[in-house]
Amino acid sequence: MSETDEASAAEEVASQTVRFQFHGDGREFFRIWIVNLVLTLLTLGIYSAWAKVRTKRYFYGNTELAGDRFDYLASPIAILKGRIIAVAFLGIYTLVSYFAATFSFVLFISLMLVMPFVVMRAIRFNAVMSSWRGVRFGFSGELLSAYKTILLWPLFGIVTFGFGMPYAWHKQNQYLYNNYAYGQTGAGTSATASDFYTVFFMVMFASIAGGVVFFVLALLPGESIALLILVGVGYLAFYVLIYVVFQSTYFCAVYNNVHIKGNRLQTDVTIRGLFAVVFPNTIFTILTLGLYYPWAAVRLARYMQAHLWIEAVNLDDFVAAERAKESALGDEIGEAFDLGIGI
Amino acid sequence: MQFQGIYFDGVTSLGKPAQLTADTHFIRLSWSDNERVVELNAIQVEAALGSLSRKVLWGADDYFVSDDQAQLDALAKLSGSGGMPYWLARLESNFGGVALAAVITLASLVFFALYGIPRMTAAIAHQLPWAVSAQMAQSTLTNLSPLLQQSELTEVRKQQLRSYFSEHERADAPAVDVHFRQAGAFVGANALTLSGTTVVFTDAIVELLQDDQQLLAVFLHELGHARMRHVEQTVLQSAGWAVFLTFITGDIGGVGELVLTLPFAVGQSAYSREFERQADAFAVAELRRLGIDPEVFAQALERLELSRNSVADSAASATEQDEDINKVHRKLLEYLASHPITADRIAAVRGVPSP
Repeated sequence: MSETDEASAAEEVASQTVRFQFHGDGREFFRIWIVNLVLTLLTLGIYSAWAKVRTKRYFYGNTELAGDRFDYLASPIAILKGRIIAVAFLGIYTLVSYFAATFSFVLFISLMLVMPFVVMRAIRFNAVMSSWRGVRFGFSGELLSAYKTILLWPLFGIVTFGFGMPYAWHKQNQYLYNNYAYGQTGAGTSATASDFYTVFFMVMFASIAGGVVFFVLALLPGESIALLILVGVGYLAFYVLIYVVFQSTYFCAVYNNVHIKGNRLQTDVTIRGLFAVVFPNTIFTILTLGLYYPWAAVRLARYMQAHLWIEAVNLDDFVAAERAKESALGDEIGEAFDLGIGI
Repeated sequence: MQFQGIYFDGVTSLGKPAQLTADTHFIRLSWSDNERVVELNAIQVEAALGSLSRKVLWGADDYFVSDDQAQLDALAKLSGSGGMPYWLARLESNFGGVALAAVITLASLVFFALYGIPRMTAAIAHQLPWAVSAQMAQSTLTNLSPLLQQSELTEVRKQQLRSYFSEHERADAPAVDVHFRQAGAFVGANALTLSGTTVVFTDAIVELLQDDQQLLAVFLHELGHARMRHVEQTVLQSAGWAVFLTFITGDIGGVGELVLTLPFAVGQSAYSREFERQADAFAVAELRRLGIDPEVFAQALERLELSRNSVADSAASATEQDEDINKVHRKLLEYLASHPITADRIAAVRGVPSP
């Protein structure tokens, strides 16, 4: 016992901060985005799979950790296959729900039943197709646990009128990160249910506080245009705030607790900082009817990456060891997952 | 040609700073005190994606990475690297290409919304079996049952209207079912087409239009919707658009959908106005065929408009609305309204030249 304590104390001393950094540029991404959009339209959606790979490669390739960039390796054909199946299902479901409403219930139940399988495969696909320093990530979550975490726990959240939902998030987070891997080494999470209850109560508090502010605003006399605009912008700010409170606290709950072989992820994303990015993003995106989106996406990624780092103990050795094991498996992994489900 | 980059040996993950030199037949990579020579026609230079660094590959485990875009482009030309990714990269880096992409995006969205999807769905809707339409109407009736209570009209009156309508119905398709229902105030005096097989009249419209010929005119308008499968078309359109969007938006991102849904929303409302015009024209043509003056339809519309305004008046002080609507407002209203403004419809009915 004392030995491990000593060891962890030694690691504590030796740990160094390795920051994530995002190098993407709004103008550059706008060009990629608009070309993706036009080719997708002209090919009636077929190109969307290639567009997805290009977008992901752009974002991964611009994410730097310890001097090296991430890589996204999925083949567009795999994604296209997954997408065709999903769209066929959506088409059938939409039509059935209009033309034979009773039968659509059966379809909905069967959708719910395949959902955990689909989500599990999608997580695995995304993990295996992501790499850093030539080593792929991995996901070893099992189907039975997928049914529990994706179907049963959220159901528990619903029957407890939402009060059980943070516990469901906790279970989902455990399913995700206790099964995640870099190369052959599994990651883990030390997040507890109370971390997710913090998220829940923060969102609740923000909603109630916002509600009170609007109640007071509604009591203000006068009907000037300026006041109306103020109230409109206020409403928007309120919605963005709730979203931001949720996103930032959830992000912290998750990323302050992930570790892999003694290397710990850390974040200092704040509600204020995220709001200062997301609120202008929302305003500009609305004002430009969506054309600002590429800049918004880049700004958001830049903020998130700038506030994410690793408290690293032996990153280089660990990574080099994984790299050596990886070469034996090589590209076969990629071929085993010929069906990409993009989530 | 000579430029700097990083050489990866494919075994260890740490790269070594290296220099690439190219002549007409070979490239030579040199790092610390090592070097590697590869035939020029064996190499493949990755196409650009933004300003990300690119790999130079030659079918082995090791490779060279650089972010010297100009030199990499020159090397790509020299080695004959090309294909779709290069074509994309050129498009993305070219201002004209990007501007063209933006214009084509907007134009094709508008085209899909106004022509592509409506044309396709119209063709499908006309092929749809009547049994499917009947099933659809049945589920709509079930869904609307909280809003539509049992009619309070007498059986005699209902039967009389049904046979009066069916006597005047064109026999080119299965006869439509006519239902009577008691509806809430906001539905008011109205008739609804549920699908190609089913039409609903509210009690209020039967009481409002006491002249049976006016009711027949309204029936013929609804019959127009039914025979032209307008409801089926609308349903297929939104389904088609939803599927189309899902296919695209996976990579556009949440708020970007706004750009894509807008043309559809506008197109949809323009299209449903077109449906109303078609149904009006159908009613007028049928009335003529039956030897009835289409004026009864114009009168029916007038009465309906009047009853609707009085409802609006009691709800809010909206009287000035009609007088205040200047040309701009009127155009805007016309553009956004799913039903053509009734005054225009009445004028159109009256204005249809006699054959």
